[in-house]
Amino acid sequence: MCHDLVVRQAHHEVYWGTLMTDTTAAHRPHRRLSFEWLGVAPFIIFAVMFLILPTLYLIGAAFIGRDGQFTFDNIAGLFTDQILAAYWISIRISGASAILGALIGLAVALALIRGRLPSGLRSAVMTFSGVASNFAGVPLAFAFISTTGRLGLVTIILKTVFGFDLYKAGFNLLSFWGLTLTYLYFQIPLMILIIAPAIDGLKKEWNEAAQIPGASQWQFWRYVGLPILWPSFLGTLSLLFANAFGAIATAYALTGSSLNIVPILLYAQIRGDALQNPGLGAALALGMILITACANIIYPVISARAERWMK
Amino acid sequence: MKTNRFWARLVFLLGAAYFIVPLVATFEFSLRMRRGYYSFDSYASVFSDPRFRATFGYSVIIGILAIIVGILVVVPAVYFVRLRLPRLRPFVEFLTLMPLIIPAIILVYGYIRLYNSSSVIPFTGSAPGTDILLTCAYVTPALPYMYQRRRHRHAHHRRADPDRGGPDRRGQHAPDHRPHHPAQYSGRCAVRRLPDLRHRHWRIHHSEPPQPPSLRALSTKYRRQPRL
Repeated sequence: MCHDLVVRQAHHEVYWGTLMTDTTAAHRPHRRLSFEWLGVAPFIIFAVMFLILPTLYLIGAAFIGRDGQFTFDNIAGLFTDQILAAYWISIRISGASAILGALIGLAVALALIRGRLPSGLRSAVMTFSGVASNFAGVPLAFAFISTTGRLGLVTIILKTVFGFDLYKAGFNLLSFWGLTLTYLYFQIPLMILIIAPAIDGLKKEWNEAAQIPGASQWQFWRYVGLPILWPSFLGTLSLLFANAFGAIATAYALTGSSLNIVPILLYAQIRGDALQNPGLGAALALGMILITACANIIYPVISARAERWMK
Repeated sequence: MKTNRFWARLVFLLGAAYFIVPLVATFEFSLRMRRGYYSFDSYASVFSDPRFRATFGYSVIIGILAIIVGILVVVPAVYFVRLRLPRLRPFVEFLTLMPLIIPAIILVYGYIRLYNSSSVIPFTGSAPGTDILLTCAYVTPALPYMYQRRRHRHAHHRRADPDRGGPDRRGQHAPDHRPHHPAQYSGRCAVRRLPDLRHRHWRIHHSEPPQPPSLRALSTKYRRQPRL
């Protein structure tokens, strides 16, 4: 009997990797601790070298002047018309592409999961989304130039078949809306990928339960579905915002340096073309970190509300 | 419900058009090397160019190296944090979520300032050093997706069963592995949760899903046991 208990206890500990009783914990060999830390060490070293140190270095450099002394001059240098305008355009483009991407992505994901489309479609779309959400940078810029550029396929078809000149109507790919349209190509798939599991979490029974007292579909979504999806939606929205805010390769390949947005300004600083003040470059980076951090702090605050229902 | 289906199809078709047209247009553009007619000449000239082959090969090698480095860095950390060092978990998770908050261009700017040729670790000073830095720069943004927390399926069985993460006989909960961030739910991950084969075993031999244990079964299972 006693032997059986010991075996069961040992099996439990091995299976779960936990020590259930305090007596065994006291006899835990000390040697294993260092082995455990050795396993985590590569990750910690990697994170310190390639995440923490570069960030801290830039934050520190934002407060150090050319003479090596502590100064607020770099931060004050951000408040010029050009840099403030760059931040404002960046925030607007990121906000527009994040909001549109989140709404369209939600609509597509809902159509895909709740719209009773053919069953094989879902995995195909998910795979495609995985690819498309990484399809950024120069290839994406090229794809949109060959689609809606001045000699693009859609532009030419609209002009020759429908007699509608896209560019005379005021559209320009190298503008606010052009860049937003391009960003949507990776924002929508990212939204679909992230929101799909949350939509799966909406149980069919909730819809049936709402229908029994006579709720319409609209009432179900207004009072049950969307309030439950809301925190995931906002969390993904802030992620999409940060995603667009830091996107450089797409914007640079598309517009060169003609559009004045913060990543391009920072890129020019890296290349050494402009500004010529490393402190100001670090201050630019600090501003970007602050903005994306503010956008992402929303999520943990709201997620607690969603988890009540997801349990 | 029929209108529901109609709207679903319409939304899906519009979305599909937005995603497919640029790809078609790129392909069409690639055939327009010769004036007046379509040809595959641009492909021929690209593939016969040794510089293209060299850069393409370099990209492939760096990509594969990034995958290997990412797995070597993340998998042991996931294993030990999950099973041996749970108190490190919040810290490690915060680190893996950092690339979502800090744009890649800022990290790159930090690398260039921190690891330039006159610094303590001059990565950018030599060609192999630059390769290492490039590989690691590709691993960093993938961290949130590689370190994905276990998804919580079958959460409703969890209430009273320690084997499925519910409270054990001392009323303590096994670690709860719900994601912190919606990105961790997504399919973009390298390290997925291992399949729970015990559950599958149950499904094969029984036609209905496992029920939460009855009070009587629980009282037998969690009866007072002598301290070891």
